[in-house]
Amino acid sequence: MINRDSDGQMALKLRQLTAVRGYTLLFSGLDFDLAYGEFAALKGPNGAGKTTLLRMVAGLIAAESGEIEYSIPDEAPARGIYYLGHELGLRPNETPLSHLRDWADMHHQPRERILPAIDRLGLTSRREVPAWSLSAGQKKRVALARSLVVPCPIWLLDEPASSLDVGGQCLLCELMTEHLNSNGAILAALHDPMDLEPSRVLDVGAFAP
Amino acid sequence: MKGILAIFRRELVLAWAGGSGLFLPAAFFAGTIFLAPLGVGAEPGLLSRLAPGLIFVALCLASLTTLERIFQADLEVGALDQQRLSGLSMELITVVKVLAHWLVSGLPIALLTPVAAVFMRADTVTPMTILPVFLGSITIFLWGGVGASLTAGLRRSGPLVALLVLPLFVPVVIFGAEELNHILTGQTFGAGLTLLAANTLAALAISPFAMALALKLE
Repeated sequence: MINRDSDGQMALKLRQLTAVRGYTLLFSGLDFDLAYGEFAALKGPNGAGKTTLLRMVAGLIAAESGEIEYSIPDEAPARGIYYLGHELGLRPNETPLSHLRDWADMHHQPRERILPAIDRLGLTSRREVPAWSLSAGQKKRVALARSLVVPCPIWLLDEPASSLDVGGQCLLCELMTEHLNSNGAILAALHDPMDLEPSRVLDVGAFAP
Repeated sequence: MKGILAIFRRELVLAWAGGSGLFLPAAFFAGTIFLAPLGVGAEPGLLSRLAPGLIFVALCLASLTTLERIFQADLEVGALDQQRLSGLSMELITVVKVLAHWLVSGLPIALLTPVAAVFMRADTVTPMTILPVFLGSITIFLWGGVGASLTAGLRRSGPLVALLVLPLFVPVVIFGAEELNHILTGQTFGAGLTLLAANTLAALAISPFAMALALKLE
């Protein structure tokens, strides 16, 4: 069950969440609150359910039981959630420019943000190249550019630094810092420590049966 | 409205950019119609007698060539997840995807029908010949979309889609071929057209909910 709670500084309230994958119980009784301006890191061993939790919070899969409460400002575009998963959402014959244009239109956001976002992520020379000839890191940069084109208050990031080069990782830290400074909330599954220190850590492994 | 149009445009642009076998179904249809006389023989009257049925069977089989890709292409790369987060209704997104797919692979088949009818020595070929196949192809793609959504997460799902959706094609073939027979033999419209149109409307009303539900469970 999903309720929208528009007043209050909490971005997310997770209550007694339980996740099952196949016939395996991943975690149960998970409680967590995420406030705006806060960066929480999801930790836990492989298979603990970090991706499952992120997809659950994004509303892409249903929780076995429990509740997720969102408080998303009314002016936020669409559902107000930016989700960066393992799959980056680019079809092989899509170009970064066409992808971001469709992205902006889909969310009723101005197209003027697209070119600056492409510049910012260092994709200027690759903006009209189909995705099949982009590297994994470049595709990730396109996915990150979406966060600038459609600014959402809640970011859910699944291993955001994977396949990014050093410059890309710095850029990621910059984008995350800016997001936090503009009072956004971030929940990110991380394996390697980042330059940006999370304000809180949620160990999914601790809720394993 | 702008949001859903962006999805529609994206589907058309991506189909045009290649990769999804743009004219494959139309080519398959033309090939089947071309082979039919070679197998049936040139006995007078036989071919024109068979034409409506063969055209509809060819339409069904041709639609199956690319059906499985309607949702799979987006599901594999995670674009479907992103579209679900856009806040647009999933029912609308699925039906827009199917209609875009139909526009590039179903409509060309409907436009080829008069040529196919001439090739099969039908008595009267008018622009109206297109109508039953036009309605039939929309219906077939919508029901086909239901099969495609159910199997989008599976590899090599083509044959499974065919098994799932062929029963749904039955009324389309019965009423469509009946109506096409009326038109090709120079008669006025029969009850077949009404029933075919009813099936189209039913598919339009039911399939979006089925597709959205299937993709949410993926």
